[in-house]
Amino acid sequence: MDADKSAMTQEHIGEIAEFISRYLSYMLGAGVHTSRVVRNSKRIGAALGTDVSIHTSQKTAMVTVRGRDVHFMDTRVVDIPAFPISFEWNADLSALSWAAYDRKMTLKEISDRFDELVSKPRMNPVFVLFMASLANASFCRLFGGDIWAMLITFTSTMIGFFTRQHLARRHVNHYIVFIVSAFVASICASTALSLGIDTAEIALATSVLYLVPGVPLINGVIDITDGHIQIGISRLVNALMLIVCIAIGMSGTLMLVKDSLL
Amino acid sequence: MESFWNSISAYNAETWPWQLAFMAVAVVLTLVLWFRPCTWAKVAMKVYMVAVSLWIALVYYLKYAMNRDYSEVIAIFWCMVAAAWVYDLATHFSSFQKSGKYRGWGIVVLLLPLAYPVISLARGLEFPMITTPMLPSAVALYMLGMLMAFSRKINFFAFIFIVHWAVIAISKIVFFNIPEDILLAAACLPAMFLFFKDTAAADEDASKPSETAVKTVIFIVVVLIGASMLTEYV
Amino acid sequence: MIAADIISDGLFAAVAAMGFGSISDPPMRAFKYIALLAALGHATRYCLMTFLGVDIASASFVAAFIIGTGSVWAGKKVFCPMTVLYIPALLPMVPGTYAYKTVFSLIMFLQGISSPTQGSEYLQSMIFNGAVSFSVIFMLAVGATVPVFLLREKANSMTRGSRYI
Repeated sequence: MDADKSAMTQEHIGEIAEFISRYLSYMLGAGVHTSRVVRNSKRIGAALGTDVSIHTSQKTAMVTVRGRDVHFMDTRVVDIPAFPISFEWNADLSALSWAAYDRKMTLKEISDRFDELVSKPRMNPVFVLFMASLANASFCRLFGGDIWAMLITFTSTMIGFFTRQHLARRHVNHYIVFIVSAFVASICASTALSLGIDTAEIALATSVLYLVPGVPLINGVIDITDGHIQIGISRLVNALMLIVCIAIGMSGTLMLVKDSLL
Repeated sequence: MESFWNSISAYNAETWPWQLAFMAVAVVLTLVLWFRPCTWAKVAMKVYMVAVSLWIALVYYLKYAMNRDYSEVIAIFWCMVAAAWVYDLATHFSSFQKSGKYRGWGIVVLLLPLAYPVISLARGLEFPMITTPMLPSAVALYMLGMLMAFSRKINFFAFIFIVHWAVIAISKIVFFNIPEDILLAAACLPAMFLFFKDTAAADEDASKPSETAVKTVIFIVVVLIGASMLTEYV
Repeated sequence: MIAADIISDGLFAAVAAMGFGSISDPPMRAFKYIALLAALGHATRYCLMTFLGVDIASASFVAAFIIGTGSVWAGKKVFCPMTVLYIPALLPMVPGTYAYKTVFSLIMFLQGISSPTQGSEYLQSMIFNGAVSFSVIFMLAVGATVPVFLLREKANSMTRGSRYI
């Protein structure tokens, strides 16, 4: 930690800044709330004998790394890449920051470990597909749907979620992905009307809920209560845009079957 | 229930030549794909799938079943099935290639639509008030059979639509006294397990959670769906 | 019968939390605690709303507080930050039907814009449902964050000494 002053060159500070900016862009991109990212980055900085200051916004972040007893510093602005939300990274990268702090790891070690952690396999898409459909079906039950409504919700969610995965893999704009998947899922759920059951409307209402961006919504409120009000509001606005997209997709269905609903 | 069977009978009485034509095309295309697979046959098969879905949506639901409740909702659903095949045509999403894995099952499922009129006749119904291979569930069954027989890279959109249709069809068994539809659900559930199991395994080398865990989840879900269908039916 | 209702409520909430959680790729070791916390929280909210007649926002606050506190305990066991455990556990409590009704009323309002009575009725229903969904989401997040404020030091060192790194 108290590296001799001669090791603390401008070049070394630059390397630390390079790594910390990468670390922080990965964490912010994977949907970790801001105060945790700031805390963890400062911790890694402290482990390497530097002070770190961070300014964040929705799409970019600015990092300044300052050597402890020397006058070198390095400032850079990083773009935050749009990763899918990953709690696994959240847990692993937080643990990495503590390990760096407690075990006094060198920059090389931390950086190698970081690369290993972020290249772990993600959740199997088929598993996610089944779990999400099951979740939506149970959600339907929580809202008072019967077994037919649950079955219909299950298969509708499956179609909608598969559409979402498929389009996301093709890098379609995510607003369009949300509109299309909400439309497809709700169209399928609307066939429940033909069964003549009174819970058909519950199935219709639940079928799009797997799309609700719950994580950004809650993250946004957490950021606001932590005092990162700007980024909190931008997260909420972002989530709100997605909800509007769900509403657009769903209103497409409602317009088509509206006469049947009333 | 009365209007349900009346609409079927009117549909059969007036369109039986068309139905026969559709079936003949289906047989020819299936045989060509089976013995002499070539690009034009694959494209033709997809075009046929689009045509047959639209036929169900527009002719069956919007013309003959119009006085049934919510038939326009179901017509929209079948248009979505057609859209799934159009999307497939445009992006070459599936390939109608043999993988040899489930061919036996494929043949069985392909022949099942033909069992529809047989079962109806055996139940003592008579033409035109019988189920034919050109009713929605039988068409879904035919699509499923094609997916099973040519399972290298299947059109998952169409497949999940068929599963969804099976859920709707199973409820009709009770409401409209049409036990023929049980065939569809019985064929769908094992297919669901097989297809998703293969996709899950084919995905990546290192998977999270382990491959067996994914398989178990899929299996449990399929069993759960089957069980809930069964409890409602009994 | 009441016990069965409560248990089934908790059970379905647990499945919903695991499913919605799996979209956001949590570590496998976190799943059982996510399920436990979600079942506990949702069953609490159900009891409060059904038997004590508490309104949905306050009941959500209490449930979220329980989930937040539970995640302090569970987070230390599996070395996960609290948010990894409590965000998925909160997801089944996000007020989906109210959100749906907000959108539905908006659409119906636009359809019935020419008839003043019908239009204002739908507008009223839209504001009503929108207010409920917003306040519930806000209460959920705040309720789960309160333990973080109370236990600053402990809550911020969940992953210290993790065995999984």
